[in-house]
Amino acid sequence: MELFSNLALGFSVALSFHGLLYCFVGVMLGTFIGVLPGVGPLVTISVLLPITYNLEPSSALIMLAGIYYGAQYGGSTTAILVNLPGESSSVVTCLDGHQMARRGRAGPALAIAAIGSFIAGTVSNVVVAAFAPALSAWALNFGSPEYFSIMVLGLVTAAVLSHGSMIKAISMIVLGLILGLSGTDVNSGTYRFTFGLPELTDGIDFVVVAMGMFGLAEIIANIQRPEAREIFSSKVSNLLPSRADMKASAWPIARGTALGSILGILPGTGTTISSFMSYALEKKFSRHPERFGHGAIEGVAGPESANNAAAQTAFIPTLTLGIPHNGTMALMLGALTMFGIAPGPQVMTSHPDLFWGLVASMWIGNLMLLVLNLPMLGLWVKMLAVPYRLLYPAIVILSCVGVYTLSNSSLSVVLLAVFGLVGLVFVKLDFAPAPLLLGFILGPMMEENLRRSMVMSRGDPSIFVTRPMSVAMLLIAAILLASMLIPMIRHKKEEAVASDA
Amino acid sequence: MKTSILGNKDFLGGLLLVAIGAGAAFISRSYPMGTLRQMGPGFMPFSLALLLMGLGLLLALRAPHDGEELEWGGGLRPVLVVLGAVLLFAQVLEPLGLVLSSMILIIASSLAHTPFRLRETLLLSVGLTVGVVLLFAYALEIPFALWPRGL
Repeated sequence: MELFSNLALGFSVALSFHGLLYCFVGVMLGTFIGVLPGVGPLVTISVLLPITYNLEPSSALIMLAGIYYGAQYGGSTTAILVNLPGESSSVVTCLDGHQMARRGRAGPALAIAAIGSFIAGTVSNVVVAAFAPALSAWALNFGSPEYFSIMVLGLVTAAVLSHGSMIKAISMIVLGLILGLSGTDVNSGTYRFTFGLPELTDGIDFVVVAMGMFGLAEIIANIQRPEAREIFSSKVSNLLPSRADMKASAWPIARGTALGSILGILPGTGTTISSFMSYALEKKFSRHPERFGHGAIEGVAGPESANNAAAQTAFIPTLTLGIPHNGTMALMLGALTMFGIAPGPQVMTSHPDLFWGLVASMWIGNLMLLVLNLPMLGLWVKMLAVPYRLLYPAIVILSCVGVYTLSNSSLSVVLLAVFGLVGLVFVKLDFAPAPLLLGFILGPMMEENLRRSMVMSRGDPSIFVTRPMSVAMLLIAAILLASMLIPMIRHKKEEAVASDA
Repeated sequence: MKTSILGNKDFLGGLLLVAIGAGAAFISRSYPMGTLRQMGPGFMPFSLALLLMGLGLLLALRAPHDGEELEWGGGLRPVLVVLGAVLLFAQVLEPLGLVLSSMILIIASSLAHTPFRLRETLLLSVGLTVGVVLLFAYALEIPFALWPRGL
């Protein structure tokens, strides 16, 4: 079986000394930063990205994946103990997880989150291993028009499913696309949007954009908010869930895993929506729906499994098509390009060690989280007790020094401040910054594929609607956009992505 | 909610987008447009800039209907201090070296919150600077000038 030989290759990479070391370092650092309140995976990854810069691509990617899982797990810990979601997908975990903590059951809540995540991670890992090769083989037949259309579809779904105003989400995508074009145009050598600065001829670094718009802007917004935290540190005792807890959680974990695995693959969806849907699903299935919101363990087990499964299968489109569908995946893809690997369906065949090493290391990362995090819980609880006034200077200095090391230029640090301000202004005006990052990563790829398509068709734009795959994707995109004009569907969507804070 | 249109989030956001779009369109006007068959470097940025202006206009026009009032909670101090500290760091890093610049950045950014605690901030700046130097200069072996030039 090819699958087994591939997985064997992957585990040989992931289980090598370096593989294990970087996975461990990534998971630890990710959890360490991710536990900090108000710091989600996106900020964590962007702050820690420069640290991976000097590593080999496969080690760097393993470490990044570790950071990603660690950050997500750290986010759940914070959600349960402090009722502060580090990211939108842990909003749901707050609902029942924090109620459990209030009742002195923080231990079982954290344990079930870890166990559920691990099971979901294991299953969805198999899904990735099974489906990614097929998808990439299929995608190898794509020409430029298909790529262009699939990117349009990806961006449209991201806009439709984002929370808040759709016009604002589309605007942020378009702004991201424009920013992504800065630097030297590959076809003509023209410098675009460089403002005469030689440092900008390679374009704006996506890490600067991500750190500024998420990291700095978030820090400033957090300082502006008065600090009000309730920590249930003293009550984290008897970690292990009881037999009744396990029994109650078994089906929610199974259903969450299935739901998350499917939703993770679809463009534009992802962790937040899968955790919300899983919560709603468990409430429907439960014989005592009234317990939800008052510390029902099913309300933690299901969503946590769902979001971890989705987080994992989200790598399928990112790695096989080269099309990220959320901010975190955009960062991962940006990291790939940073390491000199052109994203797309050829990655799997041209860098099999990298792809399968990543798949295997995701599983090992999940295992490490399960084994290491519960004993280390005491440390995370202590971290949570550290006041924000001592934490944010640490994030600021990490960001600044990290950004400087990307290109050894002070201009990057100045740009960091600029994007911090831009991010803050847009957040205050209710624009979500994540779509901008998507556009930023996809901008150059979209332009390139548009140009190639037009060369292919000798300037006839109808090429996009005469090729079956391309027209199908554009049609789906159009239907999605049109459906948002129907009030009933729009309200349903708003319910589904509501409280996505 | 009846409030002044000038304090409306969507109206302001729309105007901002129109302004950014106009700026981008103006800049990309100087890049060759090319033809549909052979698109020049100006085609994509110019079209996107126009699209952004259109979206901004749409947002601003709909603002009286669905925009909310802008609330700038928390004051300007954290904004100015944190961004100022980062800009200051950019200025001093190369002449002063990593150690002093890190301490300056940490102390300066700590001014963002009130009340300022001198002893705590100094201890924090020393601790974090040691961490940063160990991480970047030693563990990651990034060639940093640690001390001011000429020392």
